[in-house]
Amino acid sequence: MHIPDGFLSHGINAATFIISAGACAYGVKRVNRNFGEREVPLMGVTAAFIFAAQMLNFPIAGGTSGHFLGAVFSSVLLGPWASLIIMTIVLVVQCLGFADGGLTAIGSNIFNMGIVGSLGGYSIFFILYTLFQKSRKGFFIALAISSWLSIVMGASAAAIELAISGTSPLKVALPAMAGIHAIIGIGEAIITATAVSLILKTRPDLVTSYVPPTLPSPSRGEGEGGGGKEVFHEKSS
Amino acid sequence: MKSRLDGFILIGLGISLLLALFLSPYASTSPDGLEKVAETKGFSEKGESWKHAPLPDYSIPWIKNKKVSTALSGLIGTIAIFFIVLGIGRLIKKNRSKKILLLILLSYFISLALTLTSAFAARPLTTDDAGTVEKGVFQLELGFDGIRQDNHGRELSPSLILSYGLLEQMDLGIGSGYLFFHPKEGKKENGFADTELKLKYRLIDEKDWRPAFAITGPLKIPTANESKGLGSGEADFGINAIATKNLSKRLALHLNLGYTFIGEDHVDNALNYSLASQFILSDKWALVGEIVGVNNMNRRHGDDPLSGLIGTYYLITDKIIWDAGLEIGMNKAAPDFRFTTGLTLLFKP
Repeated sequence: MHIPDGFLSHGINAATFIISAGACAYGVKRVNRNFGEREVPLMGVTAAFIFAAQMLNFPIAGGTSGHFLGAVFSSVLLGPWASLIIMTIVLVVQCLGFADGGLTAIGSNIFNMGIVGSLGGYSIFFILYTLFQKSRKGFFIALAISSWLSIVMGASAAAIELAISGTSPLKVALPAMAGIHAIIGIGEAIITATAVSLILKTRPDLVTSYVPPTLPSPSRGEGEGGGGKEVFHEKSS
Repeated sequence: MKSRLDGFILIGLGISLLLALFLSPYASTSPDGLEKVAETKGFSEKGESWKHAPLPDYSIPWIKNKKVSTALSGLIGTIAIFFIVLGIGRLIKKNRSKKILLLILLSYFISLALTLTSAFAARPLTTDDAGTVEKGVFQLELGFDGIRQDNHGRELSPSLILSYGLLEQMDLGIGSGYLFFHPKEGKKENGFADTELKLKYRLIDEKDWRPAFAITGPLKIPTANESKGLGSGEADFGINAIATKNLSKRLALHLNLGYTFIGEDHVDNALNYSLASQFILSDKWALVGEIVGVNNMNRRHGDDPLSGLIGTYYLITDKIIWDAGLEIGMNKAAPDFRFTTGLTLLFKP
Protein backbone atom coordinates (compact mmCIF):
# COMPACT_ATOMS: atom_id res chain seq x y z
CA MET A 1 0.00 0.00 0.00
CA HIS A 2 3.10 2.22 -0.03
CA ILE A 3 2.38 4.91 -2.62
CA PRO A 4 5.42 5.85 -4.75
CA ASP A 5 6.22 9.32 -6.06
CA GLY A 6 4.34 10.40 -9.15
CA PHE A 7 0.95 8.84 -8.38
CA LEU A 8 -0.41 11.72 -6.35
CA SER A 9 -0.69 15.43 -7.03
CA HIS A 10 1.41 17.84 -5.04
CA GLY A 11 -1.71 19.40 -3.56
CA ILE A 12 -2.75 16.07 -2.03
CA ASN A 13 0.78 15.40 -0.82
CA ALA A 14 1.08 18.82 0.78
CA ALA A 15 -2.34 18.56 2.44
CA THR A 16 -1.75 15.05 3.84
CA PHE A 17 1.77 16.05 4.92
CA ILE A 18 0.41 18.91 7.00
CA ILE A 19 -2.37 16.76 8.48
CA SER A 20 0.11 13.97 9.26
CA ALA A 21 2.69 16.31 10.77
CA GLY A 22 -0.02 17.89 12.93
CA ALA A 23 -1.32 14.49 14.05
CA CYS A 24 2.23 13.33 14.84
CA ALA A 25 2.88 16.48 16.86
CA TYR A 26 -0.26 15.88 18.87
CA GLY A 27 0.61 12.18 19.09
CA VAL A 28 4.03 12.92 20.56
CA LYS A 29 2.34 15.13 23.11
CA ARG A 30 -0.18 12.41 24.01
CA VAL A 31 2.45 9.68 24.19
CA ASN A 32 4.58 11.92 26.37
CA ARG A 33 1.79 12.09 28.92
CA ASN A 34 1.75 8.41 29.84
CA PHE A 35 5.18 7.23 28.98
CA GLY A 36 7.29 5.38 31.51
CA GLU A 37 10.47 3.34 31.69
CA ARG A 38 8.70 0.33 30.14
CA GLU A 39 7.08 1.80 27.07
CA VAL A 40 10.16 2.95 25.17
CA PRO A 41 11.78 -0.49 24.62
CA LEU A 42 8.32 -1.95 23.95
CA MET A 43 7.80 0.64 21.25
CA GLY A 44 11.20 -0.22 19.78
CA VAL A 45 10.58 -3.95 19.64
CA THR A 46 7.05 -3.46 18.26
CA ALA A 47 8.42 -1.27 15.47
CA ALA A 48 11.19 -3.76 14.71
CA PHE A 49 8.63 -6.57 14.50
CA ILE A 50 6.37 -4.52 12.23
CA PHE A 51 9.25 -3.67 9.93
CA ALA A 52 10.37 -7.31 9.69
CA ALA A 53 6.82 -8.59 9.23
CA GLN A 54 6.10 -6.00 6.51
CA MET A 55 8.88 -7.58 4.44
CA LEU A 56 7.08 -10.91 4.39
CA ASN A 57 4.78 -10.64 1.41
CA PHE A 58 2.32 -13.49 1.24
CA PRO A 59 0.78 -14.48 -2.08
CA ILE A 60 -2.94 -13.96 -2.65
CA ALA A 61 -5.05 -14.71 -5.70
CA GLY A 62 -4.12 -13.55 -9.21
CA GLY A 63 -0.35 -13.03 -9.00
CA THR A 64 -0.68 -10.46 -6.27
CA SER A 65 0.88 -10.32 -2.85
CA GLY A 66 0.10 -8.57 0.38
CA HIS A 67 1.87 -7.98 3.64
CA PHE A 68 1.18 -7.32 7.29
CA LEU A 69 0.66 -3.66 8.25
CA GLY A 70 0.57 -3.77 12.04
CA ALA A 71 -1.37 -0.55 12.67
CA VAL A 72 -4.10 -2.15 14.81
CA PHE A 73 -1.57 -4.59 16.29
CA SER A 74 0.61 -1.79 17.67
CA SER A 75 -2.44 0.30 18.69
CA VAL A 76 -3.81 -2.52 20.82
CA LEU A 77 -0.42 -3.01 22.49
CA LEU A 78 0.67 0.58 23.04
CA GLY A 79 -2.28 2.81 22.25
CA PRO A 80 -3.21 4.51 18.97
CA TRP A 81 -0.93 7.55 19.34
CA ALA A 82 2.19 5.50 20.04
CA SER A 83 1.15 3.35 17.10
CA LEU A 84 0.94 6.43 14.86
CA ILE A 85 4.50 7.38 15.88
CA ILE A 86 5.72 3.82 15.20
CA MET A 87 4.03 3.69 11.78
CA THR A 88 5.49 7.10 10.91
CA ILE A 89 9.04 6.06 11.81
CA VAL A 90 8.70 2.75 9.96
CA LEU A 91 7.36 4.53 6.86
CA VAL A 92 10.09 7.18 6.91
CA VAL A 93 12.82 4.54 7.25
CA GLN A 94 11.27 2.42 4.50
CA CYS A 95 11.10 5.44 2.23
CA LEU A 96 14.57 6.86 2.88
CA GLY A 97 16.43 3.62 3.41
CA PHE A 98 14.67 1.13 1.17
CA ALA A 99 12.97 3.18 -1.56
CA ASP A 100 9.62 1.74 -0.46
CA GLY A 101 7.03 4.51 -0.80
CA GLY A 102 7.75 7.90 -2.29
CA LEU A 103 9.41 10.80 -0.54
CA THR A 104 6.86 13.37 -1.68
CA ALA A 105 4.09 10.85 -0.92
CA ILE A 106 5.30 10.32 2.66
CA GLY A 107 2.50 12.48 4.05
CA SER A 108 -0.10 10.46 2.16
CA ASN A 109 1.41 7.16 3.27
CA ILE A 110 1.45 8.28 6.92
CA PHE A 111 -2.13 9.45 6.47
CA ASN A 112 -3.34 6.15 4.95
CA MET A 113 -1.49 3.76 7.20
CA GLY A 114 -0.93 5.81 10.36
CA ILE A 115 -3.93 8.09 10.68
CA VAL A 116 -6.52 5.90 8.92
CA GLY A 117 -4.82 2.61 9.89
CA SER A 118 -3.81 3.25 13.49
CA LEU A 119 -6.19 5.97 14.69
CA GLY A 120 -9.14 4.85 12.53
CA GLY A 121 -8.49 1.14 13.10
CA TYR A 122 -8.17 1.56 16.84
CA SER A 123 -11.37 3.65 17.01
CA ILE A 124 -13.27 0.79 15.38
CA PHE A 125 -11.59 -1.74 17.65
CA PHE A 126 -12.53 0.31 20.71
CA ILE A 127 -16.18 0.76 19.64
CA LEU A 128 -16.59 -2.96 18.87
CA TYR A 129 -14.82 -4.08 22.04
CA THR A 130 -17.11 -1.83 24.09
CA LEU A 131 -20.16 -3.17 22.21
CA PHE A 132 -19.07 -6.71 23.09
CA GLN A 133 -18.96 -5.62 26.72
CA LYS A 134 -15.20 -6.21 26.94
CA SER A 135 -15.46 -9.98 26.93
CA ARG A 136 -12.48 -12.08 25.91
CA LYS A 137 -14.25 -13.42 22.84
CA GLY A 138 -15.38 -9.89 21.99
CA PHE A 139 -11.79 -8.70 22.23
CA PHE A 140 -10.66 -11.07 19.49
CA ILE A 141 -13.71 -10.45 17.28
CA ALA A 142 -13.15 -6.69 17.57
CA LEU A 143 -9.44 -7.20 16.88
CA ALA A 144 -10.03 -9.26 13.73
CA ILE A 145 -12.69 -6.95 12.29
CA SER A 146 -10.80 -3.74 13.04
CA SER A 147 -7.49 -5.02 11.63
CA TRP A 148 -9.29 -6.19 8.47
CA LEU A 149 -10.98 -2.78 8.21
CA SER A 150 -7.73 -0.90 8.84
CA ILE A 151 -6.37 -2.38 5.59
CA VAL A 152 -9.55 -1.82 3.58
CA MET A 153 -9.97 1.75 4.87
CA GLY A 154 -6.30 2.59 4.26
CA ALA A 155 -6.53 1.24 0.71
CA SER A 156 -9.77 3.18 0.12
CA ALA A 157 -8.08 6.38 1.35
CA ALA A 158 -5.28 5.71 -1.13
CA ALA A 159 -7.86 5.19 -3.90
CA ILE A 160 -9.56 8.48 -3.04
CA GLU A 161 -6.19 10.27 -3.13
CA LEU A 162 -5.45 8.69 -6.52
CA ALA A 163 -8.84 9.85 -7.79
CA ILE A 164 -8.43 13.44 -6.53
CA SER A 165 -4.97 13.51 -8.10
CA GLY A 166 -6.52 12.53 -11.43
CA THR A 167 -4.41 9.36 -11.68
CA SER A 168 -7.33 6.94 -11.78
CA PRO A 169 -11.05 7.69 -11.58
CA LEU A 170 -12.71 6.82 -8.27
CA LYS A 171 -15.11 4.31 -9.79
CA VAL A 172 -12.11 2.39 -11.13
CA ALA A 173 -9.60 2.83 -8.30
CA LEU A 174 -11.87 2.40 -5.29
CA PRO A 175 -13.37 -1.03 -6.11
CA ALA A 176 -9.99 -2.29 -7.35
CA MET A 177 -8.07 -1.13 -4.26
CA ALA A 178 -10.74 -2.08 -1.74
CA GLY A 179 -11.31 -5.42 -3.48
CA ILE A 180 -7.70 -6.60 -3.43
CA HIS A 181 -7.13 -5.29 0.07
CA ALA A 182 -10.26 -7.00 1.36
CA ILE A 183 -8.33 -10.23 0.69
CA ILE A 184 -5.02 -8.91 2.05
CA GLY A 185 -6.95 -7.73 5.12
CA ILE A 186 -7.85 -11.32 5.98
CA GLY A 187 -4.12 -12.02 6.32
CA GLU A 188 -3.81 -8.92 8.50
CA ALA A 189 -6.66 -10.11 10.75
CA ILE A 190 -5.15 -13.59 11.14
CA ILE A 191 -1.63 -12.34 11.90
CA THR A 192 -2.86 -9.65 14.29
CA ALA A 193 -5.14 -12.01 16.21
CA THR A 194 -2.45 -14.72 16.40
CA ALA A 195 0.31 -12.37 17.51
CA VAL A 196 -1.86 -10.62 20.11
CA SER A 197 -3.15 -13.93 21.50
CA LEU A 198 0.44 -15.16 21.87
CA ILE A 199 1.42 -12.03 23.78
CA LEU A 200 -1.77 -12.27 25.83
CA LYS A 201 -0.80 -15.81 26.84
CA THR A 202 2.75 -14.94 27.84
CA ARG A 203 2.59 -11.29 28.94
CA PRO A 204 -1.04 -10.15 29.28
CA ASP A 205 0.08 -7.00 31.11
CA LEU A 206 1.65 -5.73 27.89
CA VAL A 207 -1.64 -5.62 25.97
CA THR A 208 -2.84 -2.30 27.33
CA SER A 209 -6.19 -2.37 25.52
CA TYR A 210 -7.20 -5.72 26.98
CA VAL A 211 -9.35 -5.55 30.08
CA PRO A 212 -9.25 -8.91 31.86
CA PRO A 213 -12.77 -10.13 32.66
CA THR A 214 -13.42 -9.92 36.39
CA LEU A 215 -13.52 -13.36 37.92
CA PRO A 216 -16.01 -14.38 40.56
CA SER A 217 -13.32 -16.06 42.69
CA PRO A 218 -9.65 -16.82 42.20
CA SER A 219 -10.17 -20.59 42.41
CA ARG A 220 -12.38 -20.66 39.33
CA GLY A 221 -11.42 -19.72 35.87
CA GLU A 222 -11.20 -22.84 33.73
CA GLY A 223 -12.00 -23.05 30.03
CA GLU A 224 -13.02 -19.73 28.57
CA GLY A 225 -11.58 -17.85 31.49
CA GLY A 226 -8.16 -19.51 31.17
CA GLY A 227 -6.51 -16.33 29.97
CA GLY A 228 -8.23 -14.39 32.66
CA LYS A 229 -6.79 -16.67 35.30
CA GLU A 230 -3.31 -16.00 34.08
CA VAL A 231 -4.03 -12.32 34.23
CA PHE A 232 -5.13 -12.69 37.80
CA HIS A 233 -1.91 -14.41 38.79
CA GLU A 234 0.11 -11.83 36.93
CA LYS A 235 -1.48 -9.02 38.86
CA SER A 236 -1.18 -10.74 42.24
CA SER A 237 2.46 -11.73 41.89
CA MET B 1 9.64 -7.14 36.85
CA LYS B 2 12.24 -5.23 34.89
CA SER B 3 14.29 -8.29 34.04
CA ARG B 4 11.17 -10.03 32.80
CA LEU B 5 10.47 -7.11 30.48
CA ASP B 6 14.04 -7.30 29.19
CA GLY B 7 13.35 -10.95 28.45
CA PHE B 8 10.27 -10.06 26.44
CA ILE B 9 12.15 -7.39 24.50
CA LEU B 10 14.95 -9.81 23.67
CA ILE B 11 12.55 -12.55 22.58
CA GLY B 12 10.51 -10.08 20.51
CA LEU B 13 13.61 -8.67 18.88
CA GLY B 14 14.93 -12.18 18.30
CA ILE B 15 11.72 -13.25 16.56
CA SER B 16 11.78 -10.10 14.40
CA LEU B 17 15.40 -10.69 13.38
CA LEU B 18 14.70 -14.34 12.57
CA LEU B 19 11.73 -13.30 10.42
CA ALA B 20 13.84 -10.74 8.57
CA LEU B 21 16.81 -13.05 8.16
CA PHE B 22 15.23 -16.37 7.28
CA LEU B 23 11.73 -15.67 5.99
CA SER B 24 12.12 -12.43 4.03
CA PRO B 25 14.19 -14.06 1.23
CA TYR B 26 11.28 -16.44 0.64
CA ALA B 27 8.56 -13.76 0.66
CA SER B 28 6.37 -13.45 -2.40
CA THR B 29 7.86 -11.22 -5.08
CA SER B 30 4.52 -10.65 -6.79
CA PRO B 31 3.33 -7.03 -6.97
CA ASP B 32 1.45 -5.90 -3.88
CA GLY B 33 -2.15 -4.69 -3.91
CA LEU B 34 -1.45 -1.14 -5.01
CA GLU B 35 1.18 -2.17 -7.60
CA LYS B 36 -1.26 -4.67 -9.07
CA VAL B 37 -4.03 -2.06 -9.33
CA ALA B 38 -1.56 0.37 -10.91
CA GLU B 39 -0.58 -2.27 -13.47
CA THR B 40 -4.09 -3.33 -14.42
CA LYS B 41 -5.49 0.20 -14.45
CA GLY B 42 -2.54 1.48 -16.44
CA PHE B 43 -0.84 4.03 -14.25
CA SER B 44 2.10 2.02 -12.92
CA GLU B 45 4.65 3.75 -15.17
CA LYS B 46 3.95 7.04 -13.41
CA GLY B 47 5.45 5.76 -10.19
CA GLU B 48 9.02 6.30 -9.12
CA SER B 49 10.77 5.94 -5.81
CA TRP B 50 13.64 7.73 -4.24
CA LYS B 51 16.81 6.99 -6.16
CA HIS B 52 19.23 7.63 -3.33
CA ALA B 53 18.07 4.98 -0.90
CA PRO B 54 21.08 3.04 0.37
CA LEU B 55 19.22 -0.29 0.28
CA PRO B 56 16.78 0.07 -2.65
CA ASP B 57 13.94 -2.48 -2.71
CA TYR B 58 15.27 -4.25 0.36
CA SER B 59 18.54 -5.29 -1.20
CA ILE B 60 22.23 -4.52 -0.76
CA PRO B 61 23.37 -3.35 -4.19
CA TRP B 62 26.83 -4.95 -4.14
CA ILE B 63 25.66 -8.38 -3.03
CA LYS B 64 24.80 -10.46 -6.08
CA ASN B 65 22.98 -13.30 -4.32
CA LYS B 66 19.40 -12.07 -4.12
CA LYS B 67 18.40 -14.09 -1.08
CA VAL B 68 21.46 -13.06 0.96
CA SER B 69 21.01 -9.47 -0.16
CA THR B 70 17.37 -9.37 0.96
CA ALA B 71 18.05 -11.14 4.24
CA LEU B 72 20.90 -8.84 5.23
CA SER B 73 19.04 -5.66 4.28
CA GLY B 74 16.09 -6.89 6.35
CA LEU B 75 18.41 -7.55 9.27
CA ILE B 76 19.96 -4.08 9.01
CA GLY B 77 16.52 -2.44 8.73
CA THR B 78 15.08 -4.28 11.72
CA ILE B 79 18.03 -3.41 13.96
CA ALA B 80 18.05 0.18 12.70
CA ILE B 81 14.31 0.61 13.36
CA PHE B 82 14.71 -0.76 16.88
CA PHE B 83 17.41 1.75 17.76
CA ILE B 84 15.77 4.69 15.97
CA VAL B 85 12.51 4.14 17.84
CA LEU B 86 14.42 3.62 21.08
CA GLY B 87 16.24 6.91 20.54
CA ILE B 88 13.13 8.87 19.60
CA GLY B 89 11.19 7.23 22.43
CA ARG B 90 13.85 8.27 24.96
CA LEU B 91 13.70 11.82 23.64
CA ILE B 92 9.90 11.88 23.86
CA LYS B 93 10.06 10.64 27.43
CA LYS B 94 12.47 13.39 28.37
CA ASN B 95 9.76 15.90 27.60
CA ARG B 96 11.44 17.16 24.51
CA SER B 97 8.49 16.23 22.37
CA LYS B 98 8.42 19.36 20.31
CA LYS B 99 12.11 19.25 19.59
CA ILE B 100 11.80 15.76 18.19
CA LEU B 101 9.05 16.80 15.84
CA LEU B 102 11.30 19.56 14.67
CA LEU B 103 14.19 17.17 14.29
CA ILE B 104 12.00 14.91 12.18
CA LEU B 105 10.83 17.83 10.07
CA LEU B 106 14.33 19.16 9.70
CA SER B 107 15.67 15.80 8.60
CA TYR B 108 12.77 15.64 6.16
CA PHE B 109 13.77 18.95 4.65
CA ILE B 110 17.43 17.96 4.59
CA SER B 111 16.56 14.72 2.86
CA LEU B 112 14.57 16.69 0.30
CA ALA B 113 17.65 18.81 -0.26
CA LEU B 114 19.66 15.67 -0.94
CA THR B 115 17.23 14.42 -3.54
CA LEU B 116 16.99 17.42 -5.82
CA THR B 117 18.99 19.63 -8.05
CA SER B 118 14.18 30.11 -7.49
CA ALA B 119 12.36 30.71 -4.57
CA PHE B 120 11.12 33.67 -2.60
CA ALA B 121 10.18 33.50 1.05
CA ALA B 122 7.45 35.46 2.64
CA ARG B 123 4.27 34.47 4.37
CA PRO B 124 3.67 32.15 6.20
CA LEU B 125 7.32 32.30 7.32
CA THR B 126 8.48 34.64 10.04
CA THR B 127 11.96 34.41 8.55
CA ASP B 128 12.72 37.15 6.06
CA ASP B 129 14.33 36.54 2.67
CA ALA B 130 16.94 38.61 0.90
CA GLY B 131 14.58 39.46 -1.95
CA THR B 132 12.96 42.87 -2.21
CA VAL B 133 9.70 43.91 -3.81
CA GLU B 134 10.30 44.95 -7.44
CA LYS B 135 10.73 48.65 -8.09
CA GLY B 136 7.40 50.40 -8.49
CA VAL B 137 5.38 47.40 -7.34
CA PHE B 138 3.05 47.38 -4.37
CA GLN B 139 2.69 44.22 -2.33
CA LEU B 140 -0.14 43.72 0.13
CA GLU B 141 -0.05 40.92 2.67
CA LEU B 142 -3.26 40.05 4.49
CA GLY B 143 -2.84 37.72 7.41
CA PHE B 144 -4.93 36.05 10.04
CA ASP B 145 -3.27 34.51 13.09
CA GLY B 146 -4.67 32.39 15.89
CA ILE B 147 -2.39 31.85 18.86
CA ARG B 148 -2.75 29.64 21.91
CA GLN B 149 -0.39 30.53 24.73
CA ASP B 150 1.09 27.97 27.11
CA ASN B 151 -1.31 29.16 29.81
CA HIS B 152 -4.18 28.51 27.36
CA GLY B 153 -4.84 32.20 26.77
CA ARG B 154 -5.87 32.81 23.15
CA GLU B 155 -5.13 35.58 20.72
CA LEU B 156 -6.67 36.27 17.34
CA SER B 157 -5.14 38.83 15.10
CA PRO B 158 -5.86 39.95 11.56
CA SER B 159 -2.99 41.93 10.06
CA LEU B 160 -2.08 43.97 7.01
CA ILE B 161 1.36 44.77 5.60
CA LEU B 162 1.94 47.05 2.62
CA SER B 163 5.33 47.08 0.92
CA TYR B 164 6.59 49.18 -1.96
CA GLY B 165 9.67 48.70 -4.12
CA LEU B 166 11.54 52.01 -3.84
CA LEU B 167 14.60 50.97 -5.84
CA GLU B 168 15.72 47.82 -7.63
CA GLN B 169 17.33 46.69 -4.41
CA MET B 170 15.31 48.44 -1.73
CA ASP B 171 11.78 48.25 -0.42
CA LEU B 172 9.83 49.86 2.37
CA GLY B 173 7.03 48.17 4.27
CA ILE B 174 4.53 49.24 6.87
CA GLY B 175 2.25 46.88 8.73
CA SER B 176 -0.08 46.62 11.66
CA GLY B 177 -2.85 44.47 12.98
CA TYR B 178 -5.74 44.26 15.35
CA LEU B 179 -5.57 42.08 18.44
CA PHE B 180 -8.33 40.13 20.15
CA PHE B 181 -6.86 38.86 23.39
CA HIS B 182 -8.74 36.21 25.38
CA PRO B 183 -6.85 35.27 28.52
CA LYS B 184 -7.83 32.04 30.29
CA GLU B 185 -8.70 34.13 33.31
CA GLY B 186 -9.38 37.82 33.42
CA LYS B 187 -10.81 40.36 31.07
CA LYS B 188 -10.93 40.03 27.28
CA GLU B 189 -9.18 42.88 25.53
CA ASN B 190 -8.97 44.07 21.97
CA GLY B 191 -7.31 46.91 20.13
CA PHE B 192 -4.73 47.87 17.54
CA ALA B 193 -1.39 46.11 17.59
CA ASP B 194 1.95 47.84 17.29
CA THR B 195 2.88 49.20 13.87
CA GLU B 196 6.09 48.17 12.20
CA LEU B 197 8.00 50.17 9.64
CA LYS B 198 10.73 48.28 7.82
CA LEU B 199 13.33 49.25 5.26
CA LYS B 200 15.09 46.45 3.43
CA TYR B 201 18.23 46.82 1.33
CA ARG B 202 19.72 43.99 -0.68
CA LEU B 203 23.48 44.41 -0.70
CA ILE B 204 24.59 41.40 -2.72
CA ASP B 205 22.77 39.31 -5.30
CA GLU B 206 23.18 35.57 -5.31
CA LYS B 207 25.94 34.38 -7.61
CA ASP B 208 27.56 30.96 -7.94
CA TRP B 209 28.24 29.70 -4.43
CA ARG B 210 27.64 33.07 -2.78
CA PRO B 211 24.29 33.63 -1.11
CA ALA B 212 22.26 36.78 -1.54
CA PHE B 213 22.62 39.13 1.38
CA ALA B 214 20.35 41.88 2.67
CA ILE B 215 19.88 43.99 5.77
CA THR B 216 16.69 45.40 7.21
CA GLY B 217 16.01 48.02 9.80
CA PRO B 218 12.69 47.38 11.52
CA LEU B 219 11.20 50.09 13.72
CA LYS B 220 8.30 49.38 16.04
CA ILE B 221 5.95 52.29 16.59
CA PRO B 222 3.96 51.78 19.80
CA THR B 223 0.39 52.08 18.52
CA ALA B 224 -0.91 49.28 20.74
CA ASN B 225 -2.66 50.21 23.96
CA GLU B 226 -0.25 49.82 26.86
CA SER B 227 -2.85 49.96 29.63
CA LYS B 228 -4.78 47.07 28.03
CA GLY B 229 -1.59 45.04 28.01
CA LEU B 230 -1.51 44.79 24.23
CA GLY B 231 1.88 46.45 23.83
CA SER B 232 4.83 47.89 25.73
CA GLY B 233 4.04 51.51 24.86
CA GLU B 234 7.66 52.08 23.88
CA ALA B 235 9.39 52.10 20.51
CA ASP B 236 11.86 49.36 19.61
CA PHE B 237 14.29 49.26 16.74
CA GLY B 238 16.58 46.64 15.38
CA ILE B 239 18.88 45.52 12.66
CA ASN B 240 18.64 42.23 10.79
CA ALA B 241 21.06 40.44 8.53
CA ILE B 242 19.53 38.10 5.97
CA ALA B 243 21.19 35.51 3.77
CA THR B 244 19.34 33.56 1.10
CA LYS B 245 20.82 30.65 -0.79
CA ASN B 246 19.08 28.64 -3.51
CA LEU B 247 20.53 25.18 -3.13
CA SER B 248 18.72 23.92 -6.18
CA LYS B 249 15.93 24.97 -8.49
CA ARG B 250 13.51 23.77 -5.87
CA LEU B 251 15.12 24.38 -2.54
CA ALA B 252 16.11 27.62 -0.88
CA LEU B 253 17.42 28.36 2.60
CA HIS B 254 17.06 31.63 4.43
CA LEU B 255 19.07 32.59 7.48
CA ASN B 256 18.30 35.59 9.66
CA LEU B 257 20.29 37.06 12.49
CA GLY B 258 19.23 40.24 14.19
CA TYR B 259 19.48 42.39 17.24
CA THR B 260 16.60 44.39 18.68
CA PHE B 261 16.96 47.33 21.02
CA ILE B 262 13.91 47.21 23.27
CA GLY B 263 12.63 50.60 24.37
CA GLU B 264 10.80 49.42 27.48
CA ASP B 265 12.63 49.91 30.78
CA HIS B 266 14.02 46.88 32.58
CA VAL B 267 13.55 44.67 29.54
CA ASP B 268 16.66 43.16 28.00
CA ASN B 269 17.55 43.65 24.37
CA ALA B 270 17.03 40.59 22.24
CA LEU B 271 19.06 38.58 19.78
CA ASN B 272 16.82 36.89 17.24
CA TYR B 273 17.72 34.13 14.83
CA SER B 274 15.89 31.93 12.42
CA LEU B 275 16.49 29.40 9.70
CA ALA B 276 13.91 28.64 7.05
CA SER B 277 13.74 26.24 4.15
CA GLN B 278 11.48 26.50 1.21
CA PHE B 279 10.77 23.66 -1.13
CA ILE B 280 9.01 24.15 -4.46
CA LEU B 281 6.77 21.18 -5.14
CA SER B 282 5.36 22.33 -8.46
CA ASP B 283 4.79 25.58 -10.32
CA LYS B 284 1.90 26.25 -7.90
CA TRP B 285 2.73 24.61 -4.59
CA ALA B 286 5.56 25.02 -2.14
CA LEU B 287 6.31 23.69 1.32
CA VAL B 288 8.07 25.82 3.90
CA GLY B 289 9.53 25.18 7.31
CA GLU B 290 11.49 27.20 9.82
CA ILE B 291 12.93 27.42 13.30
CA VAL B 292 12.68 30.78 15.03
CA GLY B 293 14.33 31.71 18.29
CA VAL B 294 14.97 34.76 20.41
CA ASN B 295 17.68 35.07 23.00
CA ASN B 296 16.98 37.76 25.54
CA MET B 297 20.29 39.26 26.55
CA ASN B 298 20.36 37.90 30.06
CA ARG B 299 21.57 34.81 31.79
CA ARG B 300 18.20 33.14 32.02
CA HIS B 301 17.32 30.62 29.38
CA GLY B 302 13.76 30.00 30.47
CA ASP B 303 12.54 33.21 28.87
CA ASP B 304 14.04 32.58 25.43
CA PRO B 305 11.26 31.43 23.10
CA LEU B 306 12.01 28.83 20.44
CA SER B 307 9.48 27.58 17.93
CA GLY B 308 9.15 25.76 14.65
CA LEU B 309 6.76 26.33 11.79
CA ILE B 310 5.65 24.23 8.85
CA GLY B 311 3.45 25.54 6.14
CA THR B 312 2.61 25.78 2.51
CA TYR B 313 1.77 28.36 -0.08
CA TYR B 314 -0.13 28.16 -3.31
CA LEU B 315 0.03 30.49 -6.28
CA ILE B 316 -3.60 31.09 -7.19
CA THR B 317 -2.35 33.35 -9.99
CA ASP B 318 1.05 34.99 -10.40
CA LYS B 319 -0.31 37.97 -8.47
CA ILE B 320 -2.28 36.24 -5.71
CA ILE B 321 -0.68 33.77 -3.31
CA TRP B 322 -2.50 31.90 -0.56
CA ASP B 323 -0.60 30.47 2.41
CA ALA B 324 -1.09 28.64 5.67
CA GLY B 325 1.24 27.56 8.43
CA LEU B 326 1.30 25.95 11.84
CA GLU B 327 3.84 27.05 14.40
CA ILE B 328 4.58 24.90 17.40
CA GLY B 329 6.31 26.36 20.43
CA MET B 330 9.18 24.24 21.67
CA ASN B 331 9.42 25.65 25.16
CA LYS B 332 7.37 27.47 27.76
CA ALA B 333 8.42 30.92 26.59
CA ALA B 334 6.97 30.38 23.11
CA PRO B 335 3.23 30.16 22.42
CA ASP B 336 1.87 26.62 22.38
CA PHE B 337 0.48 26.83 18.86
CA ARG B 338 0.04 29.51 16.24
CA PHE B 339 -2.01 29.00 13.16
CA THR B 340 -1.60 31.51 10.41
CA THR B 341 -3.17 31.90 7.01
CA GLY B 342 -3.10 34.76 4.56
CA LEU B 343 -3.07 36.18 1.06
CA THR B 344 -0.28 38.06 -0.66
CA LEU B 345 -1.41 40.37 -3.44
CA LEU B 346 1.00 41.94 -5.91
CA PHE B 347 -0.02 45.11 -7.73
CA LYS B 348 2.08 45.42 -10.82
CA PRO B 349 1.37 46.37 -14.39
